[in-house]
Amino acid sequence: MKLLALLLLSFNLLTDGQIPGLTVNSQKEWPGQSLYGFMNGGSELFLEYGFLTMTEQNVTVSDKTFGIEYYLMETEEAAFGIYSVHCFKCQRADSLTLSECYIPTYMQFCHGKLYVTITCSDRSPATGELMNRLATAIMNNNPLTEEKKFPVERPASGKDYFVMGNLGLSAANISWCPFFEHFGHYSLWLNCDGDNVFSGEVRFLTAEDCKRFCEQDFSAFQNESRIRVSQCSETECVIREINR
Amino acid sequence: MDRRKFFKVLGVSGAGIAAGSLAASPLSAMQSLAPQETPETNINEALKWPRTETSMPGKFRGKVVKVTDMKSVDSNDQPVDSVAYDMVAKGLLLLTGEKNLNKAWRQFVSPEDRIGLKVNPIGGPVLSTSHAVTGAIIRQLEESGIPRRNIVIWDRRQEELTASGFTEEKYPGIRIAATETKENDSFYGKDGKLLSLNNIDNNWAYYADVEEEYDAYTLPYMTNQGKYSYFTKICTRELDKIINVPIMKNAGAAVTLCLKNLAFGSITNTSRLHKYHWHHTCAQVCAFPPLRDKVVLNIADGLRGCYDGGPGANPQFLCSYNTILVGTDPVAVDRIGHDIIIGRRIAEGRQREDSEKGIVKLKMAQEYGLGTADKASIELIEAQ
Repeated sequence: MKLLALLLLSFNLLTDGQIPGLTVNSQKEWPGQSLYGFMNGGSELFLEYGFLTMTEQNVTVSDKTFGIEYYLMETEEAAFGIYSVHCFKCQRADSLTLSECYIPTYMQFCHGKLYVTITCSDRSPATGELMNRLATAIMNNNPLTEEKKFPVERPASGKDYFVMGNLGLSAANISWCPFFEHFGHYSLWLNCDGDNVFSGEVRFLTAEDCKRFCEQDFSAFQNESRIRVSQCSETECVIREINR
Repeated sequence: MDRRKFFKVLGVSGAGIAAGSLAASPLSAMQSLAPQETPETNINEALKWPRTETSMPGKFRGKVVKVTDMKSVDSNDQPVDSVAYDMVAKGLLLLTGEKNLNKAWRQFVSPEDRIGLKVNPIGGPVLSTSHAVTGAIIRQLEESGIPRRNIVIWDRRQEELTASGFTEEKYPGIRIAATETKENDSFYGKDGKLLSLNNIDNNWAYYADVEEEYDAYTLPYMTNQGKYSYFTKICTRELDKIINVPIMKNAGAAVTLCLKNLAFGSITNTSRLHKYHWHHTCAQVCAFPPLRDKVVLNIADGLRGCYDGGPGANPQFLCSYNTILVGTDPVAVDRIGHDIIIGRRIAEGRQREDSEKGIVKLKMAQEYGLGTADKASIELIEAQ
């Protein structure tokens, strides 16, 4: 049953010749919990977001070898979320899509429910251009339908974060972790402005959790006295740092 | 509230997030479980075992040598063998107070000992214990009279050792050992049983009242499910001494150094222990005699490392610390390493300030008598 579900949710991988000279050397799939076999402790973060399967490919193009990892997440938000917490110090960002980040040797992007990383040990600009072509081919392979539209509408790299639990929050904005220490079921959109000041909207599973969260004495948290929280609905509230 | 309204309320410029996206996130997709109570474990059984003269924290409680050399990594981010050799040698001499390197090594090991180097290969070729440091240790062991046949490089997973270059081809005459092994590209033997079941010691187990059920894909990487994690025979039966050689990595706002490398590398069924029981596992597993009484030295490899994204290797977070830490006290080494790694996280803007939560496992380990977490009580010797 689980296998059937995975097949229904499958996506298209790169194949030989899809861009001139492309050869797929190997490929391996890591569904569900087996991600522990691939990255052991690091898999917790992916599982927290809602992870379905990962496929790794080793490909060669123009005599350069690339490692590609396709992470299929449960939702578009989860794919963006896992991208958002891995995005850092991009040398080039958001030029192919609204959420892609490039540094020499490494490109990552999200596309619908896919979070994709491309790695190559070569730092040259030519390799960066090949990564662009590989990324574009992957996106063209997996056209987004209206139902799978992207969860952000402007370049978001390094500005917006989406988290679905405490592991994601510790990666996006660890200084807010104490607020959420006693809460497990929530999702949170975070925005970080140019002065590294965060604001966010959190949604809880239950109205009780939301009420309990908003009633916390935020001034009691060490070094975090300038937090303002306002409840917006039974299960949602907005958190702002006034300044730091 | 949709995202447009949300960011308008916040006064954030632009409509960044697609309208209704949070509403589109089914609550069932909120995977994160509520934090749980600390589960019951069998740590008290471990603590009843009498300590030996080699029990942690070993010969030099609370003493750490930090050796830094900016030439230890070249312009291609590759560790330099000759510099690593000198750094390890300097660390050993300063730790022991010896003038002769061979004598320094012989304070910890003898030619009769079967010696295991517990490396960390899980970050792949770019973020694993370096061959420069591993090779330096092996060379110095040989120079001090230890035969190669008595040296073992080991970790939990054969695939990861191979992928990171820890092979018998690269290290001729040295055994490469793992708990999770394959034959003919299969985790299963002809009898249909997991090969790794032959490599675990049913007499030594860490019990924790938390469990996960594994599917067929996952079980070979866990060896068993249930509430017990079994120690590998490598450390319970096949080695007399262990030299712990972790690499400097973060795990969120904590670090994965000596304790984590030993604990999670020596037992089965670890997935269940990561989420809410990570600190406890790191400290408690090390309190069991197969580790507590055999780890005689820790050499934390910080030539390369990472300050975020750990334990995986995310290239944007890799860095050169150009440092090794040497000590017999794994808790003290971890405490010094914590400051180095968290300091880098703060400098890079990944964290605003240090948190006591990052050193929970160190405080626990200190309570179990494994070493010194109190920084004021650590003697730190810095050398360049």
